[in-house]
Amino acid sequence: MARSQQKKRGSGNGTSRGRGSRHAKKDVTDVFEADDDQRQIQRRGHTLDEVDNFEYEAGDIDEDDDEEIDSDDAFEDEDNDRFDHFKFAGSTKPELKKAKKQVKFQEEEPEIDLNEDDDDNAADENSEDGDDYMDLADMLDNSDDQDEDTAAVDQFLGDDGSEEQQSDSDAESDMEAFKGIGSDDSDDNDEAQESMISLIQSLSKKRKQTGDQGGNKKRHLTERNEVYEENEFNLPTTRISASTEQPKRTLDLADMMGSLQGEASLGQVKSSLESLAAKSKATLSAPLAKRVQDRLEREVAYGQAAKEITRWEPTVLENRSADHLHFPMQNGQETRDSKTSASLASTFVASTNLEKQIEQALQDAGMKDEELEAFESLKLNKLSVEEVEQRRQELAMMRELMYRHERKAKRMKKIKSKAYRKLKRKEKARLDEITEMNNVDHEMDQEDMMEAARHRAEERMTLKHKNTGKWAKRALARGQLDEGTREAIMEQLQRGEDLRRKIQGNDGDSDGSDSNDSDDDYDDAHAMAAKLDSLAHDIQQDTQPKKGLLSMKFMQDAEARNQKETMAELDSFREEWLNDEDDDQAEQDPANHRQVQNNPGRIAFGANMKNDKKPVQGTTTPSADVKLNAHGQIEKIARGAAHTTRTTGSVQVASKAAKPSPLADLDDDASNPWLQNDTSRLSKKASKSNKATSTQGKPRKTKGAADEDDDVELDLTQVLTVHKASKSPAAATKKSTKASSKPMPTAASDNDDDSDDADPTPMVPTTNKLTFSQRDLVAQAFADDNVVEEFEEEKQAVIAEDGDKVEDLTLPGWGNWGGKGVKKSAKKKKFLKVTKGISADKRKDAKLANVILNEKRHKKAEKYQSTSIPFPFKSMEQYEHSLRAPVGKEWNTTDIHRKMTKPRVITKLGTVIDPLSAPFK
Amino acid sequence: MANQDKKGSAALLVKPNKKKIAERHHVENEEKYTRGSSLNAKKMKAGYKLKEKIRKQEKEAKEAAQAAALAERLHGEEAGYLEAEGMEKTKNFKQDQLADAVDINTSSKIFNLDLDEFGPYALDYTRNGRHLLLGGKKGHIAAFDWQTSKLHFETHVKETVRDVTWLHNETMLAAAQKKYVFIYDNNGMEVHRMKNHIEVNKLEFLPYHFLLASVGNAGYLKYQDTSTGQLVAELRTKLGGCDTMTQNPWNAVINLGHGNGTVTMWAPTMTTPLVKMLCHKARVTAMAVDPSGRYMATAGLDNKLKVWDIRKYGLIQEYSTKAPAASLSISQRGLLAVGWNSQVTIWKDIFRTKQTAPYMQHLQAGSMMNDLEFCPFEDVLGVGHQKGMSSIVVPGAGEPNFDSLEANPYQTKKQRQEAEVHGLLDKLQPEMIMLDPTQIGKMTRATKEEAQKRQREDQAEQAAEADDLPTKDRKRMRGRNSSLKRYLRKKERRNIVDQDKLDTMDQLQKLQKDQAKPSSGFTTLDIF
Repeated sequence: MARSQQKKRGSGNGTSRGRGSRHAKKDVTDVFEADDDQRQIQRRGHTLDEVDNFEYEAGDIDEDDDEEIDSDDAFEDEDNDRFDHFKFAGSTKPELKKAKKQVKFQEEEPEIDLNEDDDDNAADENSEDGDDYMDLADMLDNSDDQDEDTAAVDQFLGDDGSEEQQSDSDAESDMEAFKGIGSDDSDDNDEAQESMISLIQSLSKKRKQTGDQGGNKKRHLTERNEVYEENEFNLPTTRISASTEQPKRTLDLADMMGSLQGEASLGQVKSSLESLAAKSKATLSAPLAKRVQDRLEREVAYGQAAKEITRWEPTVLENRSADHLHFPMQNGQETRDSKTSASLASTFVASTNLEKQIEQALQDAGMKDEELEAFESLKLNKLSVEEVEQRRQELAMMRELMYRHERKAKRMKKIKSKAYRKLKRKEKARLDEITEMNNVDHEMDQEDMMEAARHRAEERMTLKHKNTGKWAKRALARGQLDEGTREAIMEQLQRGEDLRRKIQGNDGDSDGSDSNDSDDDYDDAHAMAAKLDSLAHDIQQDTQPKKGLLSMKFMQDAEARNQKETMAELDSFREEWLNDEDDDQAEQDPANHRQVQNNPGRIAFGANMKNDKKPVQGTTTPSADVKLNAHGQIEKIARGAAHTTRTTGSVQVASKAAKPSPLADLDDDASNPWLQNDTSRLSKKASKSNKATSTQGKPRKTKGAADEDDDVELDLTQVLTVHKASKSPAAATKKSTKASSKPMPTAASDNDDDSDDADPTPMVPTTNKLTFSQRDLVAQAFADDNVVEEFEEEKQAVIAEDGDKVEDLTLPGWGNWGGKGVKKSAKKKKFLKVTKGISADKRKDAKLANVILNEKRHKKAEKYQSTSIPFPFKSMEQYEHSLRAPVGKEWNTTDIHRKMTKPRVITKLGTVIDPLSAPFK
Repeated sequence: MANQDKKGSAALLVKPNKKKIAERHHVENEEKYTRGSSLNAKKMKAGYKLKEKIRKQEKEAKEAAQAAALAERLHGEEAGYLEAEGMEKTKNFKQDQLADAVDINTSSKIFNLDLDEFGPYALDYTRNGRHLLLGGKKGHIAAFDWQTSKLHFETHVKETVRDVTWLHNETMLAAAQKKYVFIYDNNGMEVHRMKNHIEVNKLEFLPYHFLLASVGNAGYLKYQDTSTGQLVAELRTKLGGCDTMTQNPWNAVINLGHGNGTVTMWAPTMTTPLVKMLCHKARVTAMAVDPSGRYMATAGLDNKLKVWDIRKYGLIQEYSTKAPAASLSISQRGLLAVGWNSQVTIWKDIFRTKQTAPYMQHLQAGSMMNDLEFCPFEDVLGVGHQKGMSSIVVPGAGEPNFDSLEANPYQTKKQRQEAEVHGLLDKLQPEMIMLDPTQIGKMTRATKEEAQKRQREDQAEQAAEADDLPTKDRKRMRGRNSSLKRYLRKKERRNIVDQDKLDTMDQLQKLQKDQAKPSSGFTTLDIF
């Protein structure tokens, strides 16, 4: 009911009014009431129609129109008849407007044709009635009491006196109209009573006029009353306001507090309620559009969800970056007990005999853990306070320095000056160079130094004496040379020539396969000598004053004795070594020279000779002798003689490399493999001559002087010494005692050569060009003659096949005239289709003469190669590096293999894996 | 004279603490196991994730290398060597002298089998060096565990046996006989006769690919898959009969030596040789490739022995021999054995420097060499010659430490079975044989143009293939699906009208006419 009133207030439209009221009624009234309504609706037919009509009219009525209606106009005759006993004292026309209007409605009602039977209309009628009533009640209501319409009327009927008293001067026009009534009452009580009754009667009459349901309405009104007696604990929810459009307020705190007025004990509650009341003053604003509301809701919800989800981020990130995930997650780690070797060691107790023994041994040695720890802690304890202080200071200093350095570096780094940078760079380069030089100087070995010196020397020799010097150039440029200058230049040239010859001699050596070795030996000798020197120096230097026991005289004496012995030993060794060196040197040179010659046997000889440097003292092992006898017999026939032959031959040639000697011819013959027997004869001769020369005795030490003057002579001597060795197998076999009695280096080499000769030498290196060509003769005797040519042809064919292919697509007869007397045009356009191939210079075998590499596609293997870079990688390098480390167990240790192939997700069998719960660290 | 053979020291069986491995900065010999330089993740252009991945990868690789280097301490054995004192020369040591000096076990490996009836002998050791197979030219085949002298079988096939080889393990072997290649089991039972391989001179087995390669007088190189039985490839060498074949153990490329002095290298999926080298000016008589696949030794009738670097196809050394070498073999540790006439000479360090004297020699008096082979994981050289077979000790020949996952000399039966299954599971495909197998899995080095060209070629090829492919024919009712009709439809689809089609059409018409013609003869219905 209250709601219906509110609705009416808000809307000026009749239709909406009626509808609103009906809905309100539905809302408020209970089930029983609904039946009554239904009945009422059925009963009254025309009233409903009336209302309908009224509604229509009411719809037309505007406020302005209302105002325009004159009260006198409104009061028509019938009205006058009815309301003549009413005095509208002091009422102006506009003030009476409302009442008039109402009356007018009521008057009009009967005139309307009433045939419709509509729920809405019926409801409207009801509400209209209510409205009427309410207006009246409002008129009556001067106090702030909120009453139901009927209740107000009752009250009014009950105590009109009090009503009067309570009348408010501020009351609206309606109220003033009522005042008149009141004043009448005061004049005459009886009269007043009567008039009141009449008023009520008139009201009821009016109701009866409007419809038959007047009584019903009344009943209905009573039914609308509150079930309970009105009191402070049963407060009505709304208060009826005046008939104006002023909104009716809902129950507010003030109403409730009103009842607490007199209660002193509830002061506190009152104050709190007051504050509440102040707050609740603000009215609710209209709700936003649903769409907007939803959007806002979504926004908030998203924010909430996002906040919720961000809490998962660390967990998710961790899981994503984890190498392996064990599921179920939480209890996975706890259950696993890891037995590390350390944990096992800590709980180890010696149980078996062996273990006990070992433990005992450890204990005896003081190697038990506890003892070690104790020892270490002891050491640590020794640090005194001062030391600690000092240490701390040191550290502080270091920190300070580092800090400063850092600061400085930062500052320097900021400098933008180009000039400064340039200077800086230069300085750095210079410093680098210097340090490098220093390093090199320090690091350079004796050998390297030797090497460097030789290089320098070579450089000097090759550059100087070439007339490329400043002076020489100038002199030559001058053209006319005086006697002295010319002579000087000539001399220089001569000198250069000599030196060059010398160098070439060396180069010749290095051509041979053994050259490197010989060089090495040479260097070795020098290095060894230098080392010996330094050793001796060290020993002598090592005479610093001793302390304690060592300072005593007898100790020093003993040491001096020792030192002397050491020195003696050193000297003897040096002597021996150098002799040996000389020997080697002596042996090698001729050997090398011989290598220039194209005789294979000789080469083997030389190389073997070199293999054993150290002289063997004492007798040879009998087994070797036996072997020699057993083995050599066969081989001697084939080889032994030949070797010696060639050596001699080669010596002669080497000595006079430039000029052909009579022996050189022989040698050429000897190099023919088919003429071996002949050469053996030669070799005999040669060996005889060697024998003669070999008696010259010991090897020379004065190598250097000979070198400078005449290599030829030196070569000869060296050859001789060697050939003494080569000759001596016979001697060695005859007299082994001789060798044993004299531990000479030559003897050693003798034996070596001996065995060498006896052995079958199955293969010989063929490095020399000449040798190859001669061997070639033999080869060609066996082989097809044109193997090489055929191969080259084939290669050319393959190149042509793989190369560009030109196809002539010109159609014959097209593009030129035919017929008699037509000449062929020279400029005929040709249509050529070129299929690109691999050009000869881009082939993989372009630089390999004897090789044809297949340039065809290996189609079937292509599927094992990737044409694009697989996903996570960005470059080929990255991808191919990922293939670098194999995973298979064949290439890895078991541990690593397991680790590499461990699956990323490991689930425990038979357990339920719950979704990730939130640990939220 | 001092001789040392393999001497085992107690293996240090310590399991290193994992943490320690991870923390190590450098481990001795680590470089040996790091394959290539590492990438610096910091410097590269890559996203965070990729960088992280690469960093992890590098770390793992380093760890693996370090672990492998650390595991080296488990290699308890050291290689043997011969050392001469003073004026002695190692080449002068003879087998009977060695037998006196070495321990009993080793001395028992010096033996001589006098089989002068059916020689000369070809021989082959299994990959673990445990079993020996002998094939006498005149038909004698014998297989035995040579260390325990347990004979598996011995048989006489009564025809020429030119070569023998073990297959993947000691349970199967192949023999190239007079006409065909036969496969026997370890009881001497003939399992297969491979009729595709005719008049074969040489056999070679590629253990990782399960391929048996053969080459013979016809000059055809044939590959037979011994696991599936398929003939994988038949490659015509076009260089005449061939009796020199060896495999490159590193990339499984087969090397053939030919009569014109060339050596060709083959992969089963290429019809032309990958490489053709002119090595000699006369027939190539023997070849050997070292286990690392870097060096090759060839010998020819021109009395030359040449050592090649087959990474760059360059000649390293050249030696002259007294007589053309009949057989060459390179041991696991890089010793080269040369068999010529009745001699065997063994060379050490021949791939590094030019040698002037051999490391060892052996004379098999009065018997021509036929086949040499170093026994894996043993310091033993097997010598097959005219009058049988002899086993000689060559200190320092074999690898002292074996990898039991690879080849286990002490393999039990169970392990052998396991290894067989694993071998089959890990079998490599024949297409994977190429000169540089490290290219597998990598990016193609083709330029853009090349790649486009290849693509075009492939497309053309596919189109051609698609034409040949039979399109699926829908099912037709009875009577409309005769083979003749099907054939015609197929022809029609291609829009080809040739004589064949016309003939078929005629045939079909005739057939239809025959069917349509009412039978003129008397039927039982005529009675009524």
